[in-house]
Order: sequence, then C-alpha cells, then structure tokens
Amino acid sequence: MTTNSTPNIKALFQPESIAVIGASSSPNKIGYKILSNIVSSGYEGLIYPVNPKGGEILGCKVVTQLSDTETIPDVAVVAVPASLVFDVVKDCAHRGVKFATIISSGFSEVGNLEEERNIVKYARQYGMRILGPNIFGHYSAAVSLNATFGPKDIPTGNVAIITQSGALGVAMIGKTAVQKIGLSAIISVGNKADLDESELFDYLRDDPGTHAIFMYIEGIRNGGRLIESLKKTTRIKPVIVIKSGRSKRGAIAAASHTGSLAGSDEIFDAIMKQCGVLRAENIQEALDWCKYISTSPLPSGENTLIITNGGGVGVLATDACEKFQVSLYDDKQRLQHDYSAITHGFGSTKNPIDLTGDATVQEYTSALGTALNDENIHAVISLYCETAMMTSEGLIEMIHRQNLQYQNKNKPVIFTLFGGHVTEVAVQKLLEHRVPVYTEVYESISPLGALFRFYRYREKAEEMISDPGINVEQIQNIISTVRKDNRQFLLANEGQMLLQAIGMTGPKSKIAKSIGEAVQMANEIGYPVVMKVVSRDIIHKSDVGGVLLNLDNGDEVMDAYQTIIHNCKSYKRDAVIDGIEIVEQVPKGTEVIIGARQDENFGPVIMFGLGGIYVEVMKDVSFRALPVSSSEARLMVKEIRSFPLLLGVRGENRKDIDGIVDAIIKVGAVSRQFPEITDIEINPIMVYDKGSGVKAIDVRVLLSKSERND
Amino acid sequence: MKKLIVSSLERDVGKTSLILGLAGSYPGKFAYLKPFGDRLVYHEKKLWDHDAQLMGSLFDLQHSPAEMSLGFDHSKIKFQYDHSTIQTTLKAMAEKYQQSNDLLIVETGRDLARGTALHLDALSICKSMGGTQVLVVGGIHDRIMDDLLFFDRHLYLQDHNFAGVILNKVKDIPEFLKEFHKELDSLKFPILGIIPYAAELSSPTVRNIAETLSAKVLTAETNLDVDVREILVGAMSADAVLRLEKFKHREKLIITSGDRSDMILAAINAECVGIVLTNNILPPPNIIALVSEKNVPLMIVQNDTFQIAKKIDMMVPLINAENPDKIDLIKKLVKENVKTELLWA
Repeated sequence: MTTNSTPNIKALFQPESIAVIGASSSPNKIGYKILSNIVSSGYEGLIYPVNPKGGEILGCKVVTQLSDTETIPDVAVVAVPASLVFDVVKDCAHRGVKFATIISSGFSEVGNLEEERNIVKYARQYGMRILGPNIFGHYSAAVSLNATFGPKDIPTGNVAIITQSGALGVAMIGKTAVQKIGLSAIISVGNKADLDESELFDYLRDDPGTHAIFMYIEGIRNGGRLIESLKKTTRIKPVIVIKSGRSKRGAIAAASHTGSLAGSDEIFDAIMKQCGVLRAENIQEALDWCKYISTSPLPSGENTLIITNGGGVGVLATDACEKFQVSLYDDKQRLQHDYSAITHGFGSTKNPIDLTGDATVQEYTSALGTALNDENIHAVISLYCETAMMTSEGLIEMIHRQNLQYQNKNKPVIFTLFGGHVTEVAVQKLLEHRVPVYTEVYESISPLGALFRFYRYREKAEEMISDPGINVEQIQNIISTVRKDNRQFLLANEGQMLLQAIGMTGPKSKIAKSIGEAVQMANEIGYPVVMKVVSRDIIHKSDVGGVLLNLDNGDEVMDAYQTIIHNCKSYKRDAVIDGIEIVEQVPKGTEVIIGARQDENFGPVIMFGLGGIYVEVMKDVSFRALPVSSSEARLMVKEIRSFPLLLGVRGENRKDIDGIVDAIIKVGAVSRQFPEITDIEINPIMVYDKGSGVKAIDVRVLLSKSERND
Repeated sequence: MKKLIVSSLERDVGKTSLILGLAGSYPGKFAYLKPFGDRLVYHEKKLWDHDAQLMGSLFDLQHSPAEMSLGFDHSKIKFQYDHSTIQTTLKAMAEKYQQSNDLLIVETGRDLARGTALHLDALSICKSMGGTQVLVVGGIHDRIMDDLLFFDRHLYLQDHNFAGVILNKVKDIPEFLKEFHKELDSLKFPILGIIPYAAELSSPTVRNIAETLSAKVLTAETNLDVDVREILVGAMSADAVLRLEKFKHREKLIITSGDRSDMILAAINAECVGIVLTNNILPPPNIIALVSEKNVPLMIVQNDTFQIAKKIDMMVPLINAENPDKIDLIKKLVKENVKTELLWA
C-alpha cells in the first residue's frame, strides 16, 4: 500500500527498533561491524539482524527475512551489495520501515544515477525515506545508537556532525574523541539521494542534547531548502561548516558579469554568512570552534578583557582579537580602578591586564573574579606563560574552578597556556574535564571570535521580508513577447520596459532602424546622446565597439551609426542587428552594478558591486540568496571593499545608498517572482548624491530555455 | 588640374600602396579623395578612412581625412545625398582642391562594382569627375591574367579616358612575362608597370592585428608597430608548443586563452611580438605584470580562438605612417617599376 506521508525525522535518531539487513557473523564484514556497534553502544531498542542464513549473531536472533520481525523496524540499515539494494529497499517499503540507511555504495557516485533515483522513487511511494546511499551509518547519543561501521566508542557530548564524506566522517569520530569533543549525533549523508542536511537540521535544531552542529559538505542538492533550514537553526544554535572545493568555480556560462563572478564558492560563502553559519577554513579550526562553542555560554555583550602574565603574549592576543573581530573593553579609568591593586607596579591595567611574570594563583583568581563580577565585561581571555610561580596542580585547580564559576554565571572565558611540562600536564588534565584550554593565542581567540559572530547574528532582529510592488502583468507580457519571438533575451527596448515595470527610472531612449531615424531621434531626445547596438548576437556591446558615448550633433550621430554597424559586423559578420538604440546621456554619477541570477544550487541570488573596473578587475562584489531584507541589502552595499566611495571621499558627497538598496530589492523581486528570468543585470546604475536617486543605464535580461514551471 | 582615378576589379590588390608610391614620385602638389570609404577610423567622435588619414599624414595634405570621404555606409550616403547631389558634391570637392593642387588622386571603392547603387563606383566617378582611369590588378599570375583579359574583352571602352594598367604584387616577373607574353601583347591598353611582390609588405603589424580584431591592448601599447611573420594558435600544452619549429621563429604572435598562463609565459620567454587573448578571459594580475615588464603587447578580444584565427587569416595588412621602412620600400618599388612619366604627361 502506498502512502504520501513522511515519517517524523525523530524516528531516524530515536528508533524503537532497528533492522540490520546484511548482518553477518563474519567480523570482517560491514554487516557484522554495524551490528556489533549497535549492540555494544548500549542501544535499548529492538535489534533485528536480517540474513537468509538465520541463526544468532552477537546474541541477537537473526531473522531470515524482514517480514519476520516481531515489530515494524523504524530504521533498516542496508549493508548488502549494490545489486541487491533495490530489492531490499522494496522489502523495507512493503514492511513499513520508516527510514532505510543504505550503507552500500555503487550508485550515483559511480554514475549509476538511474538506480539511485528509482530506489528513492519507490521508497517515497511507500512513505519511506532513504539516508545515503554510500554512507558509514549514523550515530545518535539520544538513544545510545551507534549504527555505523566506524569506531565503537563514541564519546557522548553535545556536538552533532553531518558529513558528506564517509571516510572523513569516520576519521572525525576518532579525531573528536582525541580532542575530547563529545558527540550528540553523527550522520553520514553520502550521495544525499533523498534525505539531505536540511531535514537533519529539523531534528538537530530541537534536540536538547545538541548544542552545536558541524557540517562537512561537498555539494548542495536543494540550496533553497538548506537556506531556510539553516536560517531557522542558527537562530537557536550555532552551525559550523566546512565546504570542500573552495577554488573550484561553478560551471556558469559567462553570459553576464553576475554569472562570471558567481563562482560557486563565492555564493556559498556569502549565503552561509547570510544564514549566520560559521564557515571554518579547515577541519582543525572547525573542531576548535565546536569544542568551545558547544560548551561556552553566550556573551551578553561585546566587551572582552584579556588577563595575562606576559606583555608579549598580551600584544599577540590583541592582534588576534582584531583579526577575529573580538572587541576589547576600553574603559581605562575603570580598569585602573579595579585592577591597580592586583597588578604590580610595573604591570598594566590597560586591556590586556598584565599581572606580570610573578603573578600567583591568587592574583589570577582575583583578576578573573573581578572580571567575572563586572557586568561591563562580557568575555575574558586568560593567558598564562609558564613561570615558577605556579605548579601544575595549582594551575589546574585555579582554571577548573574559574571555568566553573564563569559557566555558572554564563560568561564566556577562554584559557591559553604556554610553557613546558607543567603547562602540558595542566592542559591535558583540563581537556579531560572539557575545560576550553588552548596552547596558542590565535587558536584560542579564533573560537571566541566565532562565538561572537554567532552572538551578533542572534542579536540581529529577524526581519519580515515582503517583495516591493512590481508590475507582474507587464513583465509577463514582455516575457511572452520574447518567447513568441523564440528568443532567450530581452532587446534594449524590452529591457527598458521591464525597468519601468519595476519602478526604476532610466534615460530616455528610442531604437533607430536607419541613419535618418537615428539623427531624428537624437534631435528629439536632445544632445548629448549615447548610441548602442541592439542585436541578439551581441551581448557584451561595449566590448565589441557597439556603444558610443557623448555624441553632440547629427554629424557625430551619423559617424557613430556607421562605426557601430562596422564594429559589430567585424565582431560577427552575420550578426543580426535589430537597430541602434539612441539613449539620453545622463549626468555622470558613481557607477554600480546589480545582477540577479538563478543559481543552480541556491535558486535566485543577487549580486551588488561597484561598476566599471571595480567589477571587472577587482571583482569587488557581494552576493546574497534571495529574498533579502532592506537591512541585508544595506549590508551587501557595506560589504564591498570600495564602500567608502559611496560614503563620499575626498570632498565627494555621500551617494544615494537608499536608492541602491531599493534597486537591489526590486531586482531581487523580479528574480524571485520570475524564475524563468535566469539573469537580470543592470549595469551600470548611475548613483547620484544622497536624495538624488539612481538611474538604470543598461539592463541585460536572459530567459531560461523552457517556459516558467513554478 | 589633372585627375587620376585609381580603381581595381577586385579588392585587396594594393591600390592604396600603389597610390602612396605614385604620390611619392609626383613632382607637384596633389590632393587625395576616397569618396566611398571602407577602412573606418573612429576617433574623437569623428569618422574617416584609414587610407585618407595615411595619405594626409605622409604628404601633409591640406584637407582633413574626414573631408576626403562622403561616407562608409550606403544608408548614410543615401540619407545625405541623391544622384545629383553626389555628382555636384564630387565636382565641388574637385574644384576646391583645384585651387592649390595640380593633381587629384581619387581612390575608388574596394572593387569595380562597389558603390554602384550610389553612383560612387569607379566608372561613375570617372564620368562625374572626368579624369584618367588607372586600373590596378594583382595577386597570383592566373588571377592577374583573368582580370586583365576580362577587362580587355568585356569592359574596356576605346573612348574612355583610360591610362592603362599597373600589375602589383607579381611573384616571379620573368616567369610571368614568359608564360603570358602573347596575352599581354594582345591587350588593347598599355601596361604602365609591373611591381614585384615584396614579402615585407605582406606582414601585418601588431597594430594592424589589434585594430582588425578590435582588441583591448593591455600592455606595451607603444610597441605595436612591429611586423608579425608567424601566427601560432596556442591550443596545445606549453611543452608541446615549445617543441614546435615555428615557435622558435622570431616575430611571432600567439593566440591563446587568458586562462593559459603557461602558454603566455612560454610566449614571452620565446620573445614573441604579441599575444592575443581570446574569449575575453583576463590572465592573473601577476602574469599581466610580467608581460608588461617584457614590453610585449597583450591584447584581449571577445571572440573565440577559431574566430580570431579566421579573422587574422582574412585580414589585409595596412600600411601606417608608423612604418617608414615599408613606406620607403613602396616608393622605391613604384619608382623603379612604374612608368610614372606616362601618367603625369
């Protein structure tokens, strides 16, 4: 019997019963290792090894077929050769299994996409969901279930890991154990044929045992759903991500600047920021962040105090704070008042508080205690360089106690210890108790920086996003005309009509079909004018000499007309030239570019940057997934390196940033409401002084091959 | 004022070079006209013909190049003129030049029929302006003979003021004369000269190539007037290209994509005279800096490699004022091989 219902994801993480199909009595088989891990992990639900040979494995009675299980298993772990998987999935679906986790490989990762699709299609008909294939299994601390073929002992904790790489996932189980990072769950998603990260977040977001989520990702299936899920999750708990393939550019046709600038990694990076996700450079950094963020309370403000017994290391920490955007508390008078009694005569009460090399346990305790009780201080970095003034025991006891007090008072603290044997002993002991100690300044302040980024994101008010009013009917009519003409792009006049439909103003323009018309139209529009070729065969008009500026009279218009035709024919001899657009030449402003496109992974995304060389050479642009709120659009504008040019430098006036934000939102609305518009790019938009608005000078719009099917 | 109308049956036979050589040997003052322009130069919002610009700058002519042509495009000329005004304008131009010159050289369209719809073809111009017509033919032996005999049998008119023919770019003149002496002797009009082929004049300069391709010159803009004798498409690996015999030649230009840093580096190390980057792909800044340091012109274009190779293959090298060696050679060739005294008589 088929069903359209989808099982609650909780059943994957907290199943009442689990079947292992392909369970084996041979210790070298994956089917044995998984069963062994389930049995030894302390899982208290029902375990059904399934093997046609029957018998007993690891004390569990083996059923010869799935239909013989006493109850319907919530989860079936499938560990059989690829050729048998589809039949097994059919059995699971018929039995009413909720989730099948397919360990077996040999599907889309080796080109066998069709069978993978068929498996998912079949399972979904019966309301069953698939994890994998090509995975090492999953672990859930909530029910002490280790259904992986990875290490047996997984330390319990509050970090959940979602990984696309099986080998890396297995290795990370070991790595987190060594680094004393306990896990609440680890899920291998493999080929993501059905379940992907987004649905796993639905469980982990509300799982009280999970304080932080670490995701290793290689490729994205449904970016739109992932964005939604991430946005919901990061409001509650931190998500840390590593994505491989940073350097690989997406396979995007360079039909627009937006397309050519939108390397997959740039978009991924921007969208992760937009979603409040903390993106780490490497696995070690990600694990350092997980270790700290999963155990640390959130700060209640941004003021951080450094306490040290060494001036040099204090300066290093100050540098690191700047790098990782950790703000230092700066009330010198207050610091002097509070800490002058603790610091020696040659110490310092400026932040960093330098207790000097002869600082004792008591002085550290006093300084840390003062900071803990000071409501103006929201986080503390405690640095210690090994001296003869403290023993390992003294150090351990002091740090342990202080850490507890800080935890109890919900104030983040981080400890960095340098030195030899005494320090090493202390570090090892403290790590065993999951105290956040590090042995290098940057390594310790980087997680604190990540914690502050998460804090800032949570503090940011969630905005309701509503699309601005655009003339949908008029845009639809323009698209219909283009479709009828069997084109996939808008001609210049159609582009201008689209701009009108979204309420953007542009210069006056007309399309001339002959030199006589060109002169007449230029006379009507008024000089100076710009002339641009209108041709379906020429996308980058300027690059082929298809645009000429600043034409002041009829003679110049005639010369320009001939030149444009000649240039375009030289570029492409058989280019179809639909006319020459005669455009009012608007006053010079600051040129910016706004482009939106349908990203293969994330759906509609929008780009903003300064125009001209800034976009072409400097690639100084920012991206967001759509929709964007006005404050997010404003952030996009602020994010580019050349933002100061918009603020007005060297006597220039501030530019109309509100006008840019408005244009970003309007272009975004078009891209979102018309998925068949694959690319829309306004370049340049002339931005005038504050309050004087913006003018869209040129717009390029490309349509998808097929008609809209949303 | 004498008027010399220089025309050709086919394009690219070297009319402009020949005119340059004739003008160089002319003892008096002359003016130049090219009523129907075809080699556009657009500069500071004005359009003129490259050949007019060349003649103007080489011989310090009185009028600006923009005044030497009526237009480049049928629609423009039709918009401004009709048959009658074209005739009166041409006459007016001739009268204007007459005041300070004793010879007017008129270069007609790229082939004999060009401009017929506008009454600006060679024969119409002869009719409108009067003057003596000179026909230029050139190329391989068979093409020259086809043109000569076609003109002789089908187009030549006794009553037409026709000075004769100049044969240009003729390879192996003794062999040509030996092979075709009978046909040449039978012509109804005189042969005014036979100019030998000069390989140096057939090599484009880097500037010619940049202008033909509408390329953006990224580096070494002052080093464009260098001849290009070999053109290579760098589509293979840098290792493979380094082994190519042609790659070892001097004065070579490489066509490759901007993302082929290896090929660009190989090209500058092999002392190429220019690099054309296709598909509008910019190389990394450090590569551009390196090319700039070596003073090698780096040119970027929109088209793909195939289209660019095709365009270069089809292009006709133009003479620029910046090529004094070529200009001197042209003057010398005309002086030595054309009976100019018959023309000036």
